[in-house]
Amino acid sequence: MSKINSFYTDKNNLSKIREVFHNQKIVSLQQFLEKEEYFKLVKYIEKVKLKKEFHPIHFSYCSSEFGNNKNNEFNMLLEDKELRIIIKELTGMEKVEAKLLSFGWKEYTIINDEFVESSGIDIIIDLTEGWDDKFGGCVTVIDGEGNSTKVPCTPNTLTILQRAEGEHKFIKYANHLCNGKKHLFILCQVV
Amino acid sequence: MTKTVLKYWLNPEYIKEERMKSINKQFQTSKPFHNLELENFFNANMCNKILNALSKEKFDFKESDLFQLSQTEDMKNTKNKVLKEFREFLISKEFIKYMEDITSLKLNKNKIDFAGSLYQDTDYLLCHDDRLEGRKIAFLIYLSDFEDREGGCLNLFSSKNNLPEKAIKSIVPKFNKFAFFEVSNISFHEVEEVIVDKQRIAVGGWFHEIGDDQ
Repeated sequence: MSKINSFYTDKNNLSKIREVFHNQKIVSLQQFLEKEEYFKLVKYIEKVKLKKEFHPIHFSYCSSEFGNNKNNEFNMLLEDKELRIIIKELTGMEKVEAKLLSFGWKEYTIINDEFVESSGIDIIIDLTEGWDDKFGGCVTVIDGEGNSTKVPCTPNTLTILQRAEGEHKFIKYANHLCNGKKHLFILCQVV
Repeated sequence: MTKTVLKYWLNPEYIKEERMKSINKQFQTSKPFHNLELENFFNANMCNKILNALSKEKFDFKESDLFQLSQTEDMKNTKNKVLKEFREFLISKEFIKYMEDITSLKLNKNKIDFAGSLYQDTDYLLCHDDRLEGRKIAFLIYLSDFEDREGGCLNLFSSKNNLPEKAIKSIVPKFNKFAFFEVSNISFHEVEEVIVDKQRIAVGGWFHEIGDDQ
């Protein structure tokens, strides 16, 4: 059974999506995974042990990497043939490095002036039901001239965004309105 | 030292020689880096006037990876009489000398940054050290009363190898509290998120080091 919504595996649709991505440098594919596959992944992810990463002037969040174990839902998705084809079609590249990130109250990342992130393509797969933009905790890209792009926090959505030279991403501070909830998403960098 | 100007603006308790010596000692021995909070520091009537004057100023909402808050422009060119006079007091030779006496730091007598800030529900300023453009002392005059459970506190971080570790001191905003700290490579601090539907209003800025006249 395919993991991915058949709309996104259709060649014609994929071609239109590629056009949007090339023009707008960002595209969000809603209801990306088949419902059953999405909930299976969420169920797995919710049980994953997360490690706290804290460096006050740079970041505070929890994360997990999944190594080479091919039998977990996370790696099974990343190794999925159809997903690889979609990424290749849209970005021209195949290899992704991914980790699971979790942002709850008081968690954030700050752009690090000392280690400037190079331009590139990021892929975000959102796995959180009921996370509101007003809670913060969302991926934001800024260009240094006051322009910003916020990645929508919509569950079961895959967003691909291309950052040009001088554009940097951060995860906005998650505020108290999240009320104990955590924003879980997979962040992949296409390499 | 001419104390007439100081007597007009400050709580007279704080300009007594003995008190100033003790404040200096407190500042020198403070942790995690040189800092101080002085309650009822200014003439309270003046603070009310400043608060009232500030309510007529325009606050711009600003957000970045580091903060979410509202600020006025620097008051260098303000047309508001009260704020203009207060700024002139802060940069007066008498007050600069006073700050030098209580901190043992040498300050630029020609340069000050001074603006109003407003933090509302969910606003914050994340951990940073303030080092920029010759800043020597960062200062805040709180014009609102907060309880620590309401957020909005100025948290100061301990450090190791010039990197911040954890917040070990918390300065709670209280009306007419004057808080300041020496800007250095370890002056890591944050403004905790405001978690209530309340306005945290303050004026503040930086005194600069000698030679920084740009």
